[in-house]
Amino acid sequence: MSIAMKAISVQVNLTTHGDALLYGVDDRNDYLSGISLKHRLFAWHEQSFYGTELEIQLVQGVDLILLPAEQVIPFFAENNTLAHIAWTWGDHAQSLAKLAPLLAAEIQAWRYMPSFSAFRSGKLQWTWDNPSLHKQIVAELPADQDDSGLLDGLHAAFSAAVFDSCYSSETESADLRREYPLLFDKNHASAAGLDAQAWLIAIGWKADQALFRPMLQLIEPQDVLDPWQLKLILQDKLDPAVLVPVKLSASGEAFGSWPATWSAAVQERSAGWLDQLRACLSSERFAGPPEDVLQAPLGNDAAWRFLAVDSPRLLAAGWQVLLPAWWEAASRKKPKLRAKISSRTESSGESLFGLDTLIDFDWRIAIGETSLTESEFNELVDRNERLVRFRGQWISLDPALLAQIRKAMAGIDRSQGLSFQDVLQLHLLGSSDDSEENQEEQDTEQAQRIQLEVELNEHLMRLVSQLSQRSEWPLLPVPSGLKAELRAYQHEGFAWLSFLRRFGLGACLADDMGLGKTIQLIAYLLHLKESNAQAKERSPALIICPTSVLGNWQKEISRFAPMLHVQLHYGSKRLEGAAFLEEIQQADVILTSFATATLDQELLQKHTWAAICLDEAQNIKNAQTKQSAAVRSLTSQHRIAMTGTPIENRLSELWSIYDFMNPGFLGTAHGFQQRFGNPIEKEHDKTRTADLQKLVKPFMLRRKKKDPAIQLDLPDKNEMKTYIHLTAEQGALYNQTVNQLMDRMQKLEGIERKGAILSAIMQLKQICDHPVLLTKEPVPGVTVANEDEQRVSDELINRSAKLERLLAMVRELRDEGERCLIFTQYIGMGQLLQAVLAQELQEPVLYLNGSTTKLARDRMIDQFQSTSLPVEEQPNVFILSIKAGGVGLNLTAANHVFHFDRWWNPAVENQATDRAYRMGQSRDVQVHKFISLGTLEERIDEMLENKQQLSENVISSSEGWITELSTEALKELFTLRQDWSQT
Amino acid sequence: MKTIDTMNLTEWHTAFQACTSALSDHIHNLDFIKAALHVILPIKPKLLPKEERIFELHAHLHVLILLVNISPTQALRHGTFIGFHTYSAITEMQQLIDSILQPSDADSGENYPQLFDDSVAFIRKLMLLESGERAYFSHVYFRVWQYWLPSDQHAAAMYAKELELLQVISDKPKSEESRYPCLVAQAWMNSLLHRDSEAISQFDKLNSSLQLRPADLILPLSAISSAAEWERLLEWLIKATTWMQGKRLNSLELFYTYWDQAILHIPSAEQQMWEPLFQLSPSLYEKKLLVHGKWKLWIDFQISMGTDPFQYKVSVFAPIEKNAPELLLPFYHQAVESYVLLKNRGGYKIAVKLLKRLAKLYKKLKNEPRWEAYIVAFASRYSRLRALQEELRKGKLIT
Repeated sequence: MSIAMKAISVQVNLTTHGDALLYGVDDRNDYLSGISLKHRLFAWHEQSFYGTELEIQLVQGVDLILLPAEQVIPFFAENNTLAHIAWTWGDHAQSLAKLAPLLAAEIQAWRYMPSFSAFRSGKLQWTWDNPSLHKQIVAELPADQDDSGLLDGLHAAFSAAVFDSCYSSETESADLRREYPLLFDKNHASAAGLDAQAWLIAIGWKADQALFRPMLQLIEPQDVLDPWQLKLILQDKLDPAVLVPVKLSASGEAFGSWPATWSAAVQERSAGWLDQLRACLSSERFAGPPEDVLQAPLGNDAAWRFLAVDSPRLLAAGWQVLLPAWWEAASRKKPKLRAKISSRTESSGESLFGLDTLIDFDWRIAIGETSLTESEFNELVDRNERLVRFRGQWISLDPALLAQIRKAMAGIDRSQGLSFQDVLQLHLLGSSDDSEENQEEQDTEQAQRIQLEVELNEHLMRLVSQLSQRSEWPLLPVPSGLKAELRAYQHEGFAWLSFLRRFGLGACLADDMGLGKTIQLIAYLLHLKESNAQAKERSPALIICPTSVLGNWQKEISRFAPMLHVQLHYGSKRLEGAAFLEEIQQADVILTSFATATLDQELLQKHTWAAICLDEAQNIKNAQTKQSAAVRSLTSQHRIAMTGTPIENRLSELWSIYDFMNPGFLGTAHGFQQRFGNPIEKEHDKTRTADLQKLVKPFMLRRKKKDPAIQLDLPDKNEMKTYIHLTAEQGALYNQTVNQLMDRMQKLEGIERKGAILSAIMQLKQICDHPVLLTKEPVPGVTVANEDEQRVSDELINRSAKLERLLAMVRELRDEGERCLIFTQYIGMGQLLQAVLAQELQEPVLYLNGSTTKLARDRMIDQFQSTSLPVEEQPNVFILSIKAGGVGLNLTAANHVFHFDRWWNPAVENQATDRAYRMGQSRDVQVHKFISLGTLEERIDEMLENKQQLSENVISSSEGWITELSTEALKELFTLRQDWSQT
Repeated sequence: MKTIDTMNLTEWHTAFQACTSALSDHIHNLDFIKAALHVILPIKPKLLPKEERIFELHAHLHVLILLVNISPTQALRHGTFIGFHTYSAITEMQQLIDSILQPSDADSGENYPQLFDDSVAFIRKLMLLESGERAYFSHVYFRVWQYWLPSDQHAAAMYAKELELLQVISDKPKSEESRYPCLVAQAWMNSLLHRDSEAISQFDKLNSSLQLRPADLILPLSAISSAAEWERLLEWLIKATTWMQGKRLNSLELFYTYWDQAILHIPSAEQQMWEPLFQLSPSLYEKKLLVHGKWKLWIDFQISMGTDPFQYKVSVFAPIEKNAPELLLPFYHQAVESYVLLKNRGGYKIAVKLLKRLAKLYKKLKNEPRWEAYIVAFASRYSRLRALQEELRKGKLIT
């Protein structure tokens, strides 16, 4: 009785590759379809995913299932087949089913060995290492088969199973390679003269029973004229110091005096040694007399050949080789080509240097410890030998390397000298070789490439080390004209700018927003003015910045360095031609915008500026633009780029900024893209990244607010005022409003006057925010189609400089992943900001005002403070009305606070600021107060600054006091300062 | 006229006959039972509890006799056709009788040996007249002997006496057909006497000469089982299995519920069940594999059969998924391949469904790398089947 529902008879054939081909016949003697057989036969065969991954081949109308070699033995050994089928096995299948468990057990017990016959035919194959099992296997296989197909197949299947179960993982296979490297020797000569047993010993699979091992020794000539010699020696395994020299005759007999116990083994093996040596060495090595064939003298070249070529081959074939002790060190010494900078280029350290300055140098060729002059080197090369004795030392000379050195030397015209730029680049990139390991890696990678190095003279050495080490920058005294206290890092930055100036090296000041790049540059400009005081020809510095910060610069310079004469070159009334050239004679600093600089390119080109400074240098990031080309075409003694974000998107932006600072330093744009852009951006090449960093680093000073050194120095709350001009439209509206008010002031009195003043104040402040607030135009909603939306939004932004500036700053801080609060008094402004920021940043923007319900307000606060919301839902910008959001909220997630418009009482502003700057705040808080230049905002700010002039009572939290002012005072307070608005 | 309490059994039945004569035109259906019992039961005077049960039994037996349309003296015609309504009425009646036969507290107390003897004789007579496939009175006979013995002390003696009586009856030359109930009754008496080997050999003989009615075997099995004599039950089952050859599936199912009970108490008994069960009925075998948690054999069975997983509701797989999820892998994997080889969109959709189940299984087995390896190889092997790739993407199995 059984539980079989049907009977299947299975026939198996093994291919010589060890794969099994199976087919099945059912109870009615019909062939089973491949799929139905494999699903049943391999139903419990996990390895082949239950048969589904097995291939079916249709041969002569019969479906054959192909079971891969490595699965054959495990499958038949396991014999886990369906219980509900009565399986019967064909002849081969039966043999397999019988043998497979035995073979699987061998594999399990790690009892197998590499097959010598397979190795000799160039394959690595495993075979069973069990003579009694072998007998059983041979007996089991059908005797009448004259072709040994089945046995071969079984061998192959066994081998495949061993590979699969023992060496399938990468580490296992690497272990095998490491432990038995000879198994993988492509040069099968190493097996010459061996039988299977000896081979197994040779490759280390089986332990050698002999008490000695044969070795070859290369003996160095004692005297200069003596030849080198090769000797066969026997080394005692127990005492490696015991070396017995042996002569090997042409017939393979060994002669010598070794311990008697060795004799049998020596006689048995000596012929094999000769065979093996013949396979590895060229025939000239056996040119000695018949009784000692190896006693053939070697010349220097032959010795070099033995050292460099033959000995690794012998080692690979399992021979030990004794070489002169110095060889290993000598062979690793690659000649190095150095340009030694002549020490006479000593110049007075103060002169402007410039990257184009040419520097004299001599060639030096270093091989290991030995350093050769050009002529010594040539002499050595002329001897045309690979192994030369120089100053008592053997030196290995590789002709390919020598040719390269000559080529490199020829490539640089020594009569011209090297440019400072070349020297700097060679040095910066060359200094990577500090670590020996690194060097070796490079050697193997680019074995035949020599590196050109530069050896600096003392003067340059000092300069270069100063460049790359912050602690060595000479700290200049702060210019006396500076009306500000520089923080330590700002002082450092200023000194660094001045230091680079001395060598005409362009600088990129890339400190984080809020660290005071402006003040550092102002100090630099003052230093420039002071040090140029004696110079006959005065030349001003040119500052190019975005239009929106022109006012800020003007204000800051006049605030911190009132002695600097600033000339604004901007707007329709700007000077031209001769008038301009005359004007600049008077000025220390010319201030212009990127757009104006582009327009007036020709005019500005006529002058060589003492310095050109770019604020927000990312404006020239696209090298192809007219603006970028124009700015880079200007000439100057020193160039400075300032930016908080040196690379916004692509590396080419960095190139563009550097090409402005130090033209040609990073090569052409195309070359840069090939050398750095593509490898770094697309392939993430680490060495290229490191190289670029080395080149870039000395010219960029980038300090982040997070730097511990900076943080110590920063106050916890950093307030700064951001001065902003009005747009033409804003200016016109402002003037119009002031004029209207002044007209009415003549007629109105009492409460009406007060009311008019208060409403005018509101109007003026709204104009400063955005003209739309006054004109009451409908602000386009978010419902407009995308493209339109973008256009409308751009238009809206362009109409208010404050909005433009705010957007830029918010973008910058968002790039850093920080969050901000924006306070405004006007609901219209808040809504406008919300719409514009949400559109521009593509993230949710919160707006809290007086009409927000308690519930909504709490939810907003939770959202804003959250750290767990998905990115696309996380609001990072929070707009608040100062009255609704000024008190009682805890918004420490933000570390930037913007006051988009001013409140009359600093206490109110401070309270608002304290939403972010309070318990729980872990970062420094940056407070940005926006002030429109020339407007009452600035006037009020001045009053707040000079509290002594107005008693605290006067400036109360309300605007009431202003209504008490006389008409004249009002006019003074309100009138727009015209000097720079675009009218 | 005599009152019921002074009448003998035959007189009872004559009285019943009189009561129900008015109903002779009534169609024999469920309503007839009600009507008949309605006229019979009121003639019952106040009786002692035990007497009362006997009276009730006979009242019901009488109705049953009417239903099957025999008089106690007239043999039931072979192969009589019974209409549906009559049939359900008979079934209902049998159930009522069964419940009357069940042992109850009323059994204790006074005994009425004469009434018992008369009843047995009455029922025996009915039984012995029966032949063919259907028997209405034999189990009443068995139950009476099983449950209604007037006194336990003399049980063995009474069984032996009945056995002798039956032997005497069977020795008389009679037709083959009516020999059967008599022989079965003898086997029963032996079983009640615990003379199992005699009983079994009687059954055996019966089975080889005449066809054994499975129900007749079930009766002694149920008696042994309710006595919780498991070893004895197992012995019976092993012997009885051979008699089940060719029996109808519902009889087999009933029979194997006794195997289930036996295995519950003697787990090793299971080994003896499978192979014969497979021979008797592969489908019952398959069901029992699930009942006994033989998950691997169950899957083995399905694959050997070449079953499609969609032949089963998912709930069938639930216990396997819970106990041995890895066993489902070959089942699903192979089905996926088969469906893909259909090379049509419908097949691909089903394949993807199965692949999703597989993904879940591998996750459950915490062997996601294996799954990854599979699905990657799968997607690339069938990379040219665009519709399949589409379905895979739709199923979010590949991206």
